[in-house]
Amino acid sequence: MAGYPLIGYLAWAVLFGALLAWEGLVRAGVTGAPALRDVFRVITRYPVGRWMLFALWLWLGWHFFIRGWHFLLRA
Amino acid sequence: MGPLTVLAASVERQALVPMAAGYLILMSALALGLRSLSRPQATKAEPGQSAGSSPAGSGQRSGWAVLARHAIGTVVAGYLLLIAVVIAYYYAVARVGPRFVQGAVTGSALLIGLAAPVFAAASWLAELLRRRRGRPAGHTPVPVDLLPREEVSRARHPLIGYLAWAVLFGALFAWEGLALAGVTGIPTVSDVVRVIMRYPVGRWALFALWLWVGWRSFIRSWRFFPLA
Repeated sequence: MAGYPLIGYLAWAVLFGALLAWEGLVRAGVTGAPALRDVFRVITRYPVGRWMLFALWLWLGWHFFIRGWHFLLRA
Repeated sequence: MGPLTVLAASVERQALVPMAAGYLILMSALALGLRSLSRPQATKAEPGQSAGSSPAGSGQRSGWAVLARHAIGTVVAGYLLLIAVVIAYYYAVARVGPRFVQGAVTGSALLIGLAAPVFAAASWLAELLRRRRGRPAGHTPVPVDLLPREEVSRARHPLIGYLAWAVLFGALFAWEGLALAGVTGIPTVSDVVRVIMRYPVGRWALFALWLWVGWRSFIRSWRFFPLA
């Protein structure tokens, strides 16, 4: 699997699982903690925070889906 | 300087410093936002905005103008910020490839072009569903962060709740940093994504997830209508 042991992928699964589990607990009202959207809302209270989050989202999209391709998606 | 020292310095520059910087910047933005929430003000428009940008008392037209300015400002400034970071990374940290900067400029612009009609369609669908549920429509659209303070006061939560998120994201950034530093057996998040995208269904699902996250984060929270 791309030269990595399964445990390496499992670690990522656990990390993202913890993130989703925490969000689930928050949404269920178990913890009283803020949901992820509340955290985003706090970060985007200032324009710079909003620009940063948008830039981060755009970068993720470019990095995962576009990077390495030439313009107009010629591989 | 031995080859191991050079390698360690290179790893530090290309992997650990960007991850640590990214995490610290994100947490600084969170801390600033929390600080502004705790300020005792009667109403709160966006920092740097005049009180006139509040929806209260403003007409439909000015509401749309505020929304347009907000949307265009976010897209243009976010895009320029990304390009600035990419250029800085390329010239100051690592010259990762000949078309790196060009790819970032054109690729991210292409993504904005792809996402815009999807966001418009999703918003139209969401509004359609809202109307079918019998909720009124047709009011001035306003991003939630431009609403008066009391309307967003429900965003208040105990600080420990935000700290929990900071720890979770810290774990993600730290793990990615270790992977980028080449610690044996740890794939980067890009490796994980590459495995998922090996099949078209995985690629479509991830792209849909990315679009959904963008819509939820930057569009869905805007109050196009009063019960949004």
